[in-house]
Amino acid sequence: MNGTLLDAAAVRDNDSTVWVEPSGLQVSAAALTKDVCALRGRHRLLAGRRVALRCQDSCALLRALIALDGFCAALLLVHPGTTDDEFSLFCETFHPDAILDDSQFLPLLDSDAVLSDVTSIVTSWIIPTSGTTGTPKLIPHTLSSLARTVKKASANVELRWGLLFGGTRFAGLQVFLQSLLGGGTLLIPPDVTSFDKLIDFLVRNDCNALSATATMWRKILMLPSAVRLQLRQATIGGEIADQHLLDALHKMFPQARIFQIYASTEVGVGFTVKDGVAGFPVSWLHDSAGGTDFKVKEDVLWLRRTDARQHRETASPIEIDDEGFINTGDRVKIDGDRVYFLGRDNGAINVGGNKVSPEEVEAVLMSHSAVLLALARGYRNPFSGHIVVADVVLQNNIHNKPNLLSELQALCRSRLAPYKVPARIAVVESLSINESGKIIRRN
Amino acid sequence: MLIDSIKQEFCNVLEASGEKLRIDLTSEAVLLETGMDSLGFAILVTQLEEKLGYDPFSLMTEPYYPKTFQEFVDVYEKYRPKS
Repeated sequence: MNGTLLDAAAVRDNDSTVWVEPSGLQVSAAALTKDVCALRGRHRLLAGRRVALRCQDSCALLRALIALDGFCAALLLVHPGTTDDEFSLFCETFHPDAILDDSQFLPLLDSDAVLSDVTSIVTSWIIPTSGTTGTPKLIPHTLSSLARTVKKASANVELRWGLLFGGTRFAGLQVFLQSLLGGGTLLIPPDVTSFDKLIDFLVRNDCNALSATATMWRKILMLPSAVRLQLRQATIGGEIADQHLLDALHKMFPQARIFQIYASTEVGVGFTVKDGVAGFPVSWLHDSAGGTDFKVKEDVLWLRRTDARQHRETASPIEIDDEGFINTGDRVKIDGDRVYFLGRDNGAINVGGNKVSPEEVEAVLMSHSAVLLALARGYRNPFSGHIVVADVVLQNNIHNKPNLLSELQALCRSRLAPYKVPARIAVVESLSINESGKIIRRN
Repeated sequence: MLIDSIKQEFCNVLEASGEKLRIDLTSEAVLLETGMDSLGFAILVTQLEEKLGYDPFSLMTEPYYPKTFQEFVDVYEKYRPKS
């Protein structure tokens, strides 16, 4: 995209609602534009500077982004919950000229600022990785790289997107940008601990579009209140979507388009699968799709943008082959006319020299009607190095019946090679989910 | 009896993997001739840990691989938690 976020807000109809705040306050494009212009005026000394944003509040963060994009040289989006030690490490790399928090981005109600004619620059947006695997890395993006997947069809103007991710998260930014640039409305829920209350907020505000990880969708599907969501768009990202989940979503939201978003955030490539079937068509390996070329080498997916404009300025070492394909680190298997995702290459469990993707085992467990969530992991063992064990969370109304575990074992044995079958399956109350909505994996 | 629990679990694991016991599980029975492979032993140790509450192999400081069924049982005896 060309232009800045402020430009994008300013070209919207004055009366169109850009977002609804947790309090229920509806913010129009005109009010928001005026507000952020005033904020820019207040922070005019930051022009061309490097700014670290330590916002806790999503509304403050989004106002900050609109005010400072195209104005500051670089913005570091610090995730809420980042410790002071981690933040110090970030600063050693980022070297901020200023560190700002929520208090600097409260609405300036009495302002009458107008759009000043400052020259826009291309701001670098620095987003730390979730850090589930070691130290978080700082990944540079630009507005145009982040907004590459934004759809601008006129029908999208009516979409009211519920924000289920933190505003600093890659997935949260995608939803924010889609709603702002696509002309829709963003619904920013209050900070609630209960998923039920969150869905209640979304229903009250006529939410009709949601983006969530596979794990989050499975939780939504088990909430009685979720049937009240009249979804027209359901987007799954961040984790593998299996057919069981896709079918369940289609059943609960028959009017919804169901998109599976695949994004390799660190290399700036991605694609969308829209046919409601798990994986993607094998034909894409021969004919590129959605501006991306596909290749499978040693069971791992490699991608290349057809326009060869993927940004390579990244803090993490990425593997690029002679033809310009990038190693995604995702293991896949080809079965018939479909390519299925198995899981992360570096997350594989090594059972006596055989690689097992935990996600593959989890998908089999979750295909059982009693199982809501599953986590497979490696467990140390003197005979095979590691062996697969699994924890499962049962559906709401299911009680742990005596033969359930042996049923699950039998299911796994019927669908998986012997070394992939969990040696032990345990029923647990819940599984931990990180701020990006993904199941936390620990071996 | 510990030996009976182990014997029973041993047979369960073999049966679940579609194998049959090739020789009698006597004290002298050589483990590798029983029909159980290393994956089977990995499963057996994991399931015994669940049943008995301890995994002797993870408690050992030196790696040790039992060769006969008796040696296997002895390992479990030796590391049995004192109650």
